[in-house]
Formats: sequence, structure tokens, C-alpha cells
Amino acid sequence: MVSGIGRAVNERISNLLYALGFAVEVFRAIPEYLSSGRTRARILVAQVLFTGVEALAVVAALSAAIGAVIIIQGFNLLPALGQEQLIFVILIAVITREFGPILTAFIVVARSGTAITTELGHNVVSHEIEAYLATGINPISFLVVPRLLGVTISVVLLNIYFNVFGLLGSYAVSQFVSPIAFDVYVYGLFDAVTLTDLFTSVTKSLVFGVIIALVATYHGFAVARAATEIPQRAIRSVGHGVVLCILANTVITLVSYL
Amino acid sequence: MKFKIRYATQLVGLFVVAAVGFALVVLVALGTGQGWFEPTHTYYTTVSSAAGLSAGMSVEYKGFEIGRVRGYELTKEDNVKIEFFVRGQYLDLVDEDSVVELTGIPLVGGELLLHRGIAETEPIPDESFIPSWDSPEGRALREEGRVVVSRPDDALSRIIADIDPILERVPRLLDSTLELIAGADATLSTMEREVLAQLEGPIGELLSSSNQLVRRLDTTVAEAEATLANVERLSEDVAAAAATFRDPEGIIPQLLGPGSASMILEDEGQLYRRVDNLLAEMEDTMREVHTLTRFVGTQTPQIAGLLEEGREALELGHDVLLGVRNNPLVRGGIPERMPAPAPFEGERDARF
Repeated sequence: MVSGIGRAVNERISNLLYALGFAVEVFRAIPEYLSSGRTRARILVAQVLFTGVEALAVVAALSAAIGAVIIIQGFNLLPALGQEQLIFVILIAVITREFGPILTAFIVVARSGTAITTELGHNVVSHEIEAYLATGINPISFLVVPRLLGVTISVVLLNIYFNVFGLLGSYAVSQFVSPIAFDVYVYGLFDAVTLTDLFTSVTKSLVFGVIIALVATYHGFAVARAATEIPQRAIRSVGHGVVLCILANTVITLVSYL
Repeated sequence: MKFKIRYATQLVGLFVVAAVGFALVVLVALGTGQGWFEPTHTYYTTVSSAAGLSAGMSVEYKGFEIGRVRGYELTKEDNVKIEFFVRGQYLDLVDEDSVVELTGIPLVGGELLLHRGIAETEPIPDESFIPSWDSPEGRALREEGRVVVSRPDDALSRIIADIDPILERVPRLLDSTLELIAGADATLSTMEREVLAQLEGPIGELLSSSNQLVRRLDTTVAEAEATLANVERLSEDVAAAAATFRDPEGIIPQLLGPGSASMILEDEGQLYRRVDNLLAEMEDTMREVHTLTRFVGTQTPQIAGLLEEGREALELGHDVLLGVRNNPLVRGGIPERMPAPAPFEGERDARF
């Protein structure tokens, strides 16, 4: 039993070190990718299309619904405390600082994280990676870096759209609950938001994008030889991605309040 | 080819440009609204306590946010130094006689209020000291009427604003009253001494003796009053006791009346005789108990022998029962009983 625990711990540490080495290798390959030709740029565009543009509808619907719920609850609860003006602070804290980055990350993990892991897993099983190596193409630079950049850019932009639709959705619902002029609403939001809120939100999106892309590509390359490993790795990719994003969210939130 | 794939570059470009454009618009609007691009002017003040103070707290003038608190620290003089900035467009409000006031409003939070000076002067330079409301400098400016007091117009602030001056004045009023009393006392003592000093000769001595006599008389009268008060209390107690004696249902008649203790004592010795007989019977009983005890004491060896024989008999019986239980020939067990039908059968047990 003791030797079993020891083996498990050794294996975990070994995997962690391997993952860190993989991440370093990916970041080292970024300059090589940026200096490459148009072919690789098209991979990046495709990645933003699949991860960002195609997820826009889901993000817009989700954010508008959440904004609506917040405004309804706020207009029901806050007047009882005589603190109606706090609705803008709550909207900014919930949508901009917390839900925007983390829910966008969850959507991207569920949609694109699994897709990336599955695609790379198939590449490994069909020996395409060996073909790249045989022809002198670095698979990290050609396959991983555009996905890392595409996912990160998409998460940041989706977070911006999440804020736009969330705040507009809350305004739309407020017209039914407690009508308020648009300029007053916008002024209230601008009065409540601070540069720290915006910086925290963008930082979270950047970190989440990097985490999602690294975890998905790592698990895609971790497929050994059988096609049956691909769904298993896709599931683990989602689990690890979500957990790491939540941990990073906690750390960044703590740091932002220091 | 699918539309999305065919126009992927355009779609992604639109996606990126719209988001970045929106972010830029928000940043510019936010920066303009919050004065990021405006020059700011830094000042500092000192207060006695940092309670209710926080970095980023707004500096307000007549309900307008004219700046924010940058930070605060504890100084070597045991004061709290607050550093704050005022935006360029409000620089004219900060003149030489300005005073800042740190207010803490429950639930709403605190703010740093700026009160302008009456005399309009040039704005004071950056990094200048502005006295706080409760500092000696600020108090002096207010007492001299060189400050325009401007406060927010909400109900809570008005109440706090009304209470503050009252609380501020009470200690001063008390101090003034105490000083007045002390001054009057000193004046009266001086006058008395001077009057006595001016009166010389027999009249002066007579007045002095009279004063001493009056003081002694006061003391004697006070003692006499205390003694009279004691006498009065005693008289009241005696009167209450006499009233109790006079009461036909009082404690004394109850003790001496019919059915009381006096009847027990007036039974011509019957109670005594009964008690005497009771004691004699108790003596006889004790004598019999003593005789019984002595008899039991003489019979103890025989009782012990009987007990020993009984114990041996029980051991023998135990051995016999053990032998019977272990012997397979004589062990028959309890014979099985045959169930006998009950001679009586109720109506409910009838079978159809």
C-alpha cells in the first residue's frame, strides 16, 4: 500500500514536471510562430472563428440572462435596505469581475477544450505528429501555439462581449422592473466601475485562455496509440481545465483585493 | 464552401474589431468621467484617528466628487497623515483658509469634505497642508468665521451635522461653567478675607469671635439635630410596641390567652405525670432490650454451629444434584406433557 502511494505520488510529480516543461516549450515556440508565414496565421484565424465567433451566441444569451436576473433581484432586495444605488456596484462586481471571465472560460472549456484535445489525439493516433517531425515541422509551433493564441484571444474578446450583453440585458430588463433612462444607467455604471475592475477582468481572461489551451493540447498529445484513449483524455481535459480556472480565479481575486 | 469558412477572416476581423472598439470606447469614457486624463493636485492633512478612512475614498465639495484619498499613514507625532488629490477643474476651490473634514456615515461609508475659505484667494500650491476640522488650526479658522461650512443635503448627514456642533460645545460649556464656579468661589474667599482684615479693634475681634461662634453653633446644631432624629426614631419604636400590647389580637394576648402555653402550665401536674409514666415505660423497654442482647450474646456459638451445619448440608445437596445431572442412567429429564383439551369451549370458538 505504501509503495503504491509512493508510486502514485512519483507519477503525479513526474506528470506535473512534464506539463510545466510542455508549457515552457509552448511559450518558447511563440516567437517562431509569429515569424512564420500566412499558412500558420490562417490556423489562428480558424481557431478564433471556432472558439470565439461560434461561441458568441451562447455567451450573449447566457450573459443577458444573468444580467437580467441580477437586476431583478437587485431591484427587489436593495430598496428594502435603502441601497438602490448599489445595483451598479453589484452589476460590475458580478458581471465584469467574476461571472464574465469564469463563465466564458467554462463555455470555452466545454466547447473548444474538448475539440482541441480530440483533434490532437486523432493526430497522434493517425501518426500525423510523426509525419510533422519527419518533415522538419515543429508540432508545438505548428499545432499548439496557434491554438494557444486563438483560445486566449477568443476568451478575452468573449469576456468583453459577455460584459456588453450582460449589462445591456440588465438594462433591457430594468425597463420592465424599474424604468431608468439609458444615460443615467450608463452614468451609474461608469461611476461604479474602476480601472482595477477592468484590469482584473482582462487578467483573468488572459490567464484562463492560457490554462484552457495548455491543458487541452497537453491532454491531446498525451494520447498514446489507441483511439479509445481520446474520449478519456477529453474528459480529463475538461475536468482539469475547470479546476485550474477556478483556482486561478480565486488567486487573482485575492490578489486584486490586496 | 460554407459561408463561415469562406468569410472566416472577415468574420473574425469583425469579431475582434467590434470588441476592441467597444473596450476602447469604454476606457475613454471611463477615463474622461473619472478624470484620468486631467491633472491632479496633491495635498495632505492630519487627523487624530483613521476610523472610517480608506484609500480611494472620495473628496467631496457640496456633493460633488472633486478628488480622492491616495493613502494615509501614522506619523511620528501620533497623528494620521492623509494624502489626497483634487482634480484640476476643481483647483479653484482649494484656497488658503480651506478646511477638510473626515466624516463617517454608517452604512454609507465615509468621505473627506472640503470647506472653502470665506476670502477667495489663489489656489494653494501642491503638497500643501490643509488643516482638518478638529485640528487647532481648523478650529481657529472656524471660530474666526473664515470658513464656509458646506455639507451634503441628505437626512442622515443633516442629523450628524446638527449633532456634531452640540457635542463639540458641551465639553466647552462644562469647562466654562467649572471655571466660572471656581472664579466665584475664589472671589468670595478673597472678599471675606479682605473684609475681616479691614475690621480691626474690639469690633473686629468681636466679629471674628462671632464668626467662630456661629461656626461652632452650626456644628452643635447639626449634632443636636442628629441626636433628635435618633430620639424620634426610638419614640416611634416604643409607640409601635405599645400599640402591639394594646391590640386585643396582638402577640402578647395570644401568648397568654385560652388555648395558649399558659393552659399547658395550669393542668395541675397532669402533663408532668404523663411524661413521668412515659419515661418509666421507656426504662422498662430498654431493660428488656438489654436482657435480650445478653441472651443473644450467650447463644452466638450455637448459632454459628447451626450455620456451619447448614452450609455443609447445602454442599452435600449440591454434590448430589451434580451427580444426578452427570449420570446418564438416572438422568431422565422432564417428561413431556400431553396437552389436555379444555373442557370449556366458548361461543366464539365454535366451529361451523
